[in-house]
Amino acid sequence: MSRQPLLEVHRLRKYYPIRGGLFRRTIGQIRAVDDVSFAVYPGEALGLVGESGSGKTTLGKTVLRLQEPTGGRILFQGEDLTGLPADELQRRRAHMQMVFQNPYSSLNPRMKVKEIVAEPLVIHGRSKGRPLFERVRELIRRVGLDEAHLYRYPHEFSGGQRQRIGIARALALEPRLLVLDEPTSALDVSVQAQILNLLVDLQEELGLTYLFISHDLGVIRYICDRVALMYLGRIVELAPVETIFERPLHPYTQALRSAMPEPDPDAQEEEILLEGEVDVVDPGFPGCRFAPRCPAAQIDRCQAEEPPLQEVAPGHWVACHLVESGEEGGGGRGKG
Amino acid sequence: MDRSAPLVAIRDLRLNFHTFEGVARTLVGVDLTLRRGDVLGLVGETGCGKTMTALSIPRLIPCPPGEIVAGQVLFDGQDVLAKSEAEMQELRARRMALIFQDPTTNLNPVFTIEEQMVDAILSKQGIRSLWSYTPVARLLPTPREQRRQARQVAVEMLRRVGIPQPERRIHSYPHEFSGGMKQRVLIAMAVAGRPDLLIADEPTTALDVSIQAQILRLFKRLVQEFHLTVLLITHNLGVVARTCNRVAVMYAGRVVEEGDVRSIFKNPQHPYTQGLLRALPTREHRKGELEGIPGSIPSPLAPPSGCRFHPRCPHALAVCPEEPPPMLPMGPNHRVACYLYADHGPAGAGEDLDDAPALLGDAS
Ligand SMILES: Nc1ncnc2c1ncn2[C@@H]1O[C@H](COP(=O)(O)OP(=O)(O)O)[C@@H](O)[C@H]1O
Ligand SMILES: Nc1ncnc2c1ncn2[C@@H]1O[C@H](COP(=O)(O)OP(=O)(O)O)[C@@H](O)[C@H]1O
Ligand code: SF4
Ligand code: SF4
Ligand SMILES: [Mg+2]
Ligand SMILES: [Mg+2]
Repeated sequence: MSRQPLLEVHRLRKYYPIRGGLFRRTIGQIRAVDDVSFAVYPGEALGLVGESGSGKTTLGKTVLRLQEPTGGRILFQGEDLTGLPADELQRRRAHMQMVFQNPYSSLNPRMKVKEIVAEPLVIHGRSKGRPLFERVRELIRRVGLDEAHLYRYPHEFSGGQRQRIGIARALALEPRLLVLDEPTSALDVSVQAQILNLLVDLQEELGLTYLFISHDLGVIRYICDRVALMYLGRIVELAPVETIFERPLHPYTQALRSAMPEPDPDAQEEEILLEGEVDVVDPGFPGCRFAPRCPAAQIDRCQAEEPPLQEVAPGHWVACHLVESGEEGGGGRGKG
Repeated sequence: MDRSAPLVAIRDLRLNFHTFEGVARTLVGVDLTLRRGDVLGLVGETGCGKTMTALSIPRLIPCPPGEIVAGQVLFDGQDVLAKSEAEMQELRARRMALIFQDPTTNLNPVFTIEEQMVDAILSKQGIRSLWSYTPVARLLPTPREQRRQARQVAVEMLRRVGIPQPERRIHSYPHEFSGGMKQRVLIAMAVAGRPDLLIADEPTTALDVSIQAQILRLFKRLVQEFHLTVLLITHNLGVVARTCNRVAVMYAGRVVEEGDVRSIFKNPQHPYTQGLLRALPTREHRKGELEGIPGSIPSPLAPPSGCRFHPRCPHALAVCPEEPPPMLPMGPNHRVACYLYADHGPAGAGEDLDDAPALLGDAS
């Protein structure tokens, strides 16, 4: 992709303080996002995958500056957002919107759907009166609901319908980038299919760019063009979607791929069973954060040095000492 | 005991809930059979009645507001609905175990794992409750000795489900375990009493995929080791494909299709099952139109007449809104409730089979 990226993230960090003791002083830090760099190109869907606690939501929110980064830079259409004052930032935000995971808690229960969808337009002073109403009506139809729904409250809707309302609201300001945080994780499969269809249609029609967060590899494979895998605040592999599924190089990607249950009783893939669970390593630990669970870890290097994210083939980035040294496939346990 | 008879046989179970908005007809003729050694996946979308079906076996459906209006639940040939509460407690404690989705609802936060496991094991053995007040009690191990033995069993179970350093970890409180470890503890508690039947309601839904894989593998091992029969409720068809030998698909209060895993996945017959499988995003139709299922699940307060799937069904016939379709055999181990197949079975098979559940009990 030679085009100009829509979004560029450079060495982004977001640390949360861990408080404790009598006066709730800061006694440590959670490195929720730790030195993350990537680019998103216009019209693509970049998937962000990882287990809970890997930093996906934090990354999504920090990119939109809904949370202040600890360090690093965020460029949107080539412009650095990190230094912008609040009012300028507010204007840029119109181009970048977020759809949240939980369709039950992300909509204000005391507002009618009409007000929920209109609110961003009102806040940004985009329109009022008749044109505002026309726009709201157009939005609600575009997401597959009808005008009668505008006069109801969120609790009157099913999970899938609420997610449609959240999408209508996110689209109100005609954004270019949507950050979708697990938009279908709370939904049943038949409803998920309807929402995925809607998202694919909207992307095509409106030329949207997606940063699509999910822990469901099946959904990611369906909707994304490229995929980034996160582990404990870092991107460990980034590649086109086919590469991630057919020829993953990082041992963590390989293990996740094999842990994904395919709805096919004949899919007798050999499981690479990961030992243990995501466990935050001591911030002083100099090695690879995946080393405690990595089936391929080597004692010396993996414990001593954090592997950098490197481009091992055009468009294929991996952070693993084994891959760097040419030992194709890191863990390589996929085929026994 | 007849080992070839099904361990669980639910026949035409009908359950209503009395709510402020009216009567919710939640289960409308559930038929379900678990043979010994089955790992049966019960699938279907939220609200279709999976949990209520499962809770009917240990008779734990809250009544009221629930009311079982018809049907039979047989556990090892015994009529569960006809038992006294004391008999039921005994049956539950000795022969059944339940695991729910959210480990925190199953574990008491104020007691250590040791206290909870020892109590669970002792109550499963029934020693304390039944014999401790009789003269025989003097011949039995003292309560202290019993607790010591139960503790040993607990440590051994924790080891077998993969808790590292179980002698030390048994003194921990639930919050000191991660989600995956809590689920292992629960599984240890469940199988420590050596139940015949394990009911697991969405046991891996709250877990990450790599932890889910660990738990499923543990599950499969324990099923072998302890000769368990399992009712596994999940909405994840991938989990079913990986874990179960049989599948029952529920829609709006009924089992609409039932069969061996291979035949359900490779050769689904019911339009709803077909829709569910097509709704899954798979590698074949990347970014293509997912077929899915139009519309949404009906309310049990005002369900559609006849086949409850008819308003969403792409193949609906004129008869479909009239009467619920009968369960029809589609082969030795496959049954479907749909009019599309009404003339495939033996003539008039539908009505006959519905009234002759014994015929279907041991299809193998
Ligand atoms: N507001 C917060 N305050 C403190 N810690 C947080 C906060 N939000 C997230 N975290 C921590 O940051 C890490 C990453 O969390 P999150 O971004 O939610 O991950 P994911 O979305 O991948 O599950 C976790 O360890 C989480 O506990
Ligand atoms: N306490 C209750 N009061 C009224 N209705 C209930 C109650 N519990 C369950 N139900 C009914 O049971 C249905 C859901 O059954 P359930 O077995 O929980 O579904 P599933 O496990 O498949 O999601 C609901 O649609 C509701 O009508
Ligand atoms: S750097 Fe070492 S520990 Fe980290 S993923 Fe690669 S092989 Fe495993
Ligand atoms: S009985 Fe009729 S409506 Fe029901 S699934 Fe079969 S064809 Fe469709
Ligand atoms: Mg998250
Ligand atoms: Mg349930």
